[in-house]
Amino acid sequence: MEQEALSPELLQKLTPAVHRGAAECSQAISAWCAAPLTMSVERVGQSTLQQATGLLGHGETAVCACLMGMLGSCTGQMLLGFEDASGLTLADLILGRPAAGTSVWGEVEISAAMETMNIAGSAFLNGLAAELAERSAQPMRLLPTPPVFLRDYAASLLQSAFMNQALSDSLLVYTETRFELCGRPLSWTFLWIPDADSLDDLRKLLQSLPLPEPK
Amino acid sequence: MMPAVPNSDPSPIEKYNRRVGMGELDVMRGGGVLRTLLGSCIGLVLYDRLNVVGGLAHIVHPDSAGRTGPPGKYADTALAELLKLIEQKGGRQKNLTARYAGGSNMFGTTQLNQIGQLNTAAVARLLKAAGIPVLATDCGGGKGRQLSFEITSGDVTVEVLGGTPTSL
Repeated sequence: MEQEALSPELLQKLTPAVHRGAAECSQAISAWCAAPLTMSVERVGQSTLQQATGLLGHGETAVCACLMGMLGSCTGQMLLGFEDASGLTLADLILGRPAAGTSVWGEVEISAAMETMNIAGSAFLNGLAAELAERSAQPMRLLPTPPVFLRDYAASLLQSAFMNQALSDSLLVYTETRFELCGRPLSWTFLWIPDADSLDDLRKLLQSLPLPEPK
Repeated sequence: MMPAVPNSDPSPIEKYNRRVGMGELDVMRGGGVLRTLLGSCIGLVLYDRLNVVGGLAHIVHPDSAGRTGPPGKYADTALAELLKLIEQKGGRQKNLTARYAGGSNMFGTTQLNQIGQLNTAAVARLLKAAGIPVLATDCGGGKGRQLSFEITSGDVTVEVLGGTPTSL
């Protein structure tokens, strides 16, 4: 049986930083989409390989994903996943077209999705890094890599995203979020997935932090 | 002609359609279908046509190096476990043939490419050491694969999203 990669106490210490990342992401993508779009943290969780590969729905489902690498103080992956209809709704919104105006992924729609990921991922990392730096009084630098767009089986995409963490014997650590547009839920999934080496560094950093004050 | 199932097996013939998840493996006898979805991982199929016993492992990494994960997760432990379970189901190592697929570099990164290549190389090396002939492979590229293994016929098909299933 796999061990926890981060103890409940360390997950609790990580949570405020993830929330700040989500808040900065919400602000940035709302400005980008010119609409009240919010990302909130569903959970900072740990699960088995099998559970993790179901995070984008049934494994055989065709899904789209915009993927960005994370470099610097913590390395890993960020992934924004959505089914065709949700992703194309986003493209319509950004391109100022009526809803359901697009039914296929063309260059313009893919570009709109990748730019959204670029903005969302960069803002999330900025918030995460700022919170961890403030609380640890240590410099934190998190840099995104350029996004890539993929459309494939949900399970195949997630296997590749979790491949590095799967090197360890521990449960997989990730942050799962949900999105709302004008208060209505969107079936997008944003995942933040630190890699195995970074988890060791993250563990040490979090151990040095005080527990967050209860709200 | 469909091979006869030996009478010595007291267990009923299995008729299942089962999915093999990441790092898992499964073995069936007499009938049924084993399926898996692959990205950078390798789906290894072993088949004893004479005794109609086959197994599928979803291999994540090339070498356990003493780690204690599920046996299907690593190429070395997956092959050993598959051989054990196939023998328990009435199959024989001397009858086995192998086919495998996967090892995609879906994100176009150096690290994933290395893992895919290492997985592929490890499976090839282990099968050679075990004296199990490899009938076909479908590895590399940048797309995910859905692999399906039909036990009665021994047919293995691989399908990429939007493509048609092709026989391996």
